[in-house]
Amino acid sequence: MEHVQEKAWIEQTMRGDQEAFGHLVTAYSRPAYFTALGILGNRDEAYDLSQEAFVRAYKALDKFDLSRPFAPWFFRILRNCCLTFLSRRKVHASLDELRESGVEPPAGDRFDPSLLAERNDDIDRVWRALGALEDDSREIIVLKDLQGHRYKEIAAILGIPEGTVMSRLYHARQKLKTILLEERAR
Amino acid sequence: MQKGDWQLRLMAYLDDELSPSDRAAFEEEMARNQEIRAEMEKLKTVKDMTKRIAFADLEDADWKQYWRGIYNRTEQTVGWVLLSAGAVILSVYGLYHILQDVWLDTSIPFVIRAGLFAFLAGLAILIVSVARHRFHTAKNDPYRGVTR
Repeated sequence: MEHVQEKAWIEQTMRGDQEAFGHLVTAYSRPAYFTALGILGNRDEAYDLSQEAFVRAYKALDKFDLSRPFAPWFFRILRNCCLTFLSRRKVHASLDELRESGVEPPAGDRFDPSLLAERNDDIDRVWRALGALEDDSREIIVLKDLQGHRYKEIAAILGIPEGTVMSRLYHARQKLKTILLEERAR
Repeated sequence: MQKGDWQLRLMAYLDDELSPSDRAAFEEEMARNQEIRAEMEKLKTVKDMTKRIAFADLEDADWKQYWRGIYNRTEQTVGWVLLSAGAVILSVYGLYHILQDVWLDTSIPFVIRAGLFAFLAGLAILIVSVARHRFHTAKNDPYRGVTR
């Protein structure tokens, strides 16, 4: 999207024009939802948290540097929303483990292949393997391979140098390869 | 070329992030090095598999509700801020008048005035303390959101 158009919408929003913010939401709602879905693996949570990220962006718009593009700034907010949620979910899960009343049913559609547009055995297997990765490994693969961001954009979203993006991606793909091989060996 | 170095270049090669000259240089290196070639094949397979993942889209009705949901949340935030600001202003104004009308009215026995003053001071301290505690908990409690 053109930076000039984005900047105009942001300036209009800052002057109180909510419709202008609506244009930004329309432009980024799908990438936001799908990025959150890749990190969280759950439709309802991705829907809710991607909306929450827009609300936080709206509230923090006065801190936004208009000379920079909106996307990396917004995706950083979205990422923080998702990671905060995941860390709370882990606390929840560990408390559940302490319960003596047996295993709780799995939550919703977490990393269920039914979330995918196209399915076959290979794709289902990769999607489950992605779900088995650590959060930061899964996140970088989602940003690169599922969302198609360039290294420069990923570096801006994660706040790390491009070299670190490459290094994390290398190790994440190695882990994914190992999980896939282990699964095939079973 | 050191292993750590070629690993990063391998990623950039796979993701088409190398300049044409760097790409050519890396291909030369790969032609000479069996280890890099083997690693490239394995990781290319992984990348090709993850690239095939595409999410099912939401229903049109969900997308129509999407902006409405955000609009409602931002509107509610503004509503809460205005409500809180109004409550604070009215409370301060009310307290000021109560104190002025009762505390300064010497016809009311001192014990009653002192009692009212203590009651209001205690109430104010409790409200501030509870609000501060709730705010702190909301920000730092690792167990928030946990269903007990």
